[in-house]
Amino acid sequence: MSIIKISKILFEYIRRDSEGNPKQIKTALDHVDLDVREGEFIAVLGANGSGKSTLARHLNALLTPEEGAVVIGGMDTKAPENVYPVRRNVGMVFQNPDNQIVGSIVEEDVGFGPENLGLETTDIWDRVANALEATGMWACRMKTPDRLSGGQKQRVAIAGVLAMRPRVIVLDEATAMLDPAGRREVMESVMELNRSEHVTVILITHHMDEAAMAQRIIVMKEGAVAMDGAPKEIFSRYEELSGLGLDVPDTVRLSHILRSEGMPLPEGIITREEMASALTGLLKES
Amino acid sequence: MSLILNHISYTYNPGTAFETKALNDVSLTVKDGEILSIIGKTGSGKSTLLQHMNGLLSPDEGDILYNGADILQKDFDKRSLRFKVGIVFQYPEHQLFDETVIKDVAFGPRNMGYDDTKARILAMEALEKTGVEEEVYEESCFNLSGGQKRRAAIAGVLAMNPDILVLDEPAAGLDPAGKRQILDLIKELRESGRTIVMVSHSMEDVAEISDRIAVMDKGRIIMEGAPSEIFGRIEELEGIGLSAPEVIYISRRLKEAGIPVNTAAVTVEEVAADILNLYR
Repeated sequence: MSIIKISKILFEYIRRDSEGNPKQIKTALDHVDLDVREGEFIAVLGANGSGKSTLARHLNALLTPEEGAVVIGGMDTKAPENVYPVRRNVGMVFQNPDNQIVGSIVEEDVGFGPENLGLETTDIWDRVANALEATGMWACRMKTPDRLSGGQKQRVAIAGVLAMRPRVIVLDEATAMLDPAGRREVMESVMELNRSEHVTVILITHHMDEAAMAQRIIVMKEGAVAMDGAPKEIFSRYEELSGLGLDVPDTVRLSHILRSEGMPLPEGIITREEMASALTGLLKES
Repeated sequence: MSLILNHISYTYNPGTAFETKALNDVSLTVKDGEILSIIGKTGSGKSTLLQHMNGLLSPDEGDILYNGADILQKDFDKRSLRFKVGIVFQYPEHQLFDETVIKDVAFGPRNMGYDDTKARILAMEALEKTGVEEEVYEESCFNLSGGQKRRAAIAGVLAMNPDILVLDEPAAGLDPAGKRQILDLIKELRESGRTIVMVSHSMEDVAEISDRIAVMDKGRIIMEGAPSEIFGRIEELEGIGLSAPEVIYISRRLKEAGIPVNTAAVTVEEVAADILNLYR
């Protein structure tokens, strides 16, 4: 069943002069179609300005399309009465953790959303506890957010989203400011939520190795979907990706170089384990 | 020419409940003409260390010598040091402020005392070096793409012609093409004789461009050496929240399988060449 159904959406940014007349029009989304099934883990790639963030902002009605429709769990985001239900269903995590934390201690911050829903106190505590457990932040529940590392802060932000019990989580470059351990923590949390809670994940990233962990990759170009497929398939289109200002994970690049120099490596190698075992076989023979 | 940090320590909020020892007996020499990368997890003291390099912060203990002169002496000209050691902070594009790109970049040289014409020439040279297209010089900074803004912000520091360029996370948040341009720019600047100090969370970028790496943990420098030395110590790096480039993990597995790989290879290209060599 599709949780997100996007059909032919158009969105333009219009710059106006001082009199309010349009000066420049940039088409950010150019008749995009996209269908996401419940429980999918999708990575969205694309150069700066390709429309990734604009697309993300359509998923929880921060923006609504000028033409076409975005339907989340059966609700059209354009209908005013759907805005809040849609936002409960789709949680967003942005790049800078410091801009997303409002509470003075961790559990308070995570409880902020459910509190605003007007739930019973016991219900709120249940949700907070579950969200903190799911993101591995239970032990830090009494800490002040400014004593946390970047990765921990992002996990608190994710826990805050999770406490709303959303069906979809959208991460807009949420790992961009983190150190390697922080990135690993956030990716593990997100993958675990996807696996065990069946939360649909939309991960916008510039890190190809993160995209390689998704089930499906969508590549955007100039406001349109240029590629859509499994990581193995997308990353085999090496030249096309370079042409779009993108890259492939290092393992894929290594494989590409070795194959082009005549080493008979199988296609579709993505993980270091696959690469190491394929190479061990070939090098032991020679 | 060199910058020597000699046994420096620095504590934030001393004597309060928030007292944090950010630097603990750090010694580091920045050598002339090298690319020195500093890695370490968030909060390990990297940015505090950078701010000591041009005297923005003064250590509680220890000395800092720039070309042999003690920068902590009262009569040392700190103002001119800030022009010689130029720091580009994280997300520097947030600090672009002037009406046009060229005016923004010329701000530094004007501040140094150059007249408008000379400042403009220096700004143009810097923008050309960083690859910002001439068509946008008179545009508002807000009309630039993310990658262009970053390069314009770097040009703003470069226009002051510093001997040492210090970059805090210069490629963070850029798309792959924007990041490629920044890394190539850093390599070019080094080729033309500039000394570079870079902080980065990307182990791949660090492996590719560094001559030397210093690793920080809890306010100390715990390792220092060539990329191949540093990335050969994967367990220690992982223990302090870091990692190694992906290809190092692959060549390590090959080594464990009894294949005589060259452990000095740290980039995709180097590892590829080594494997092809073994295969043939």
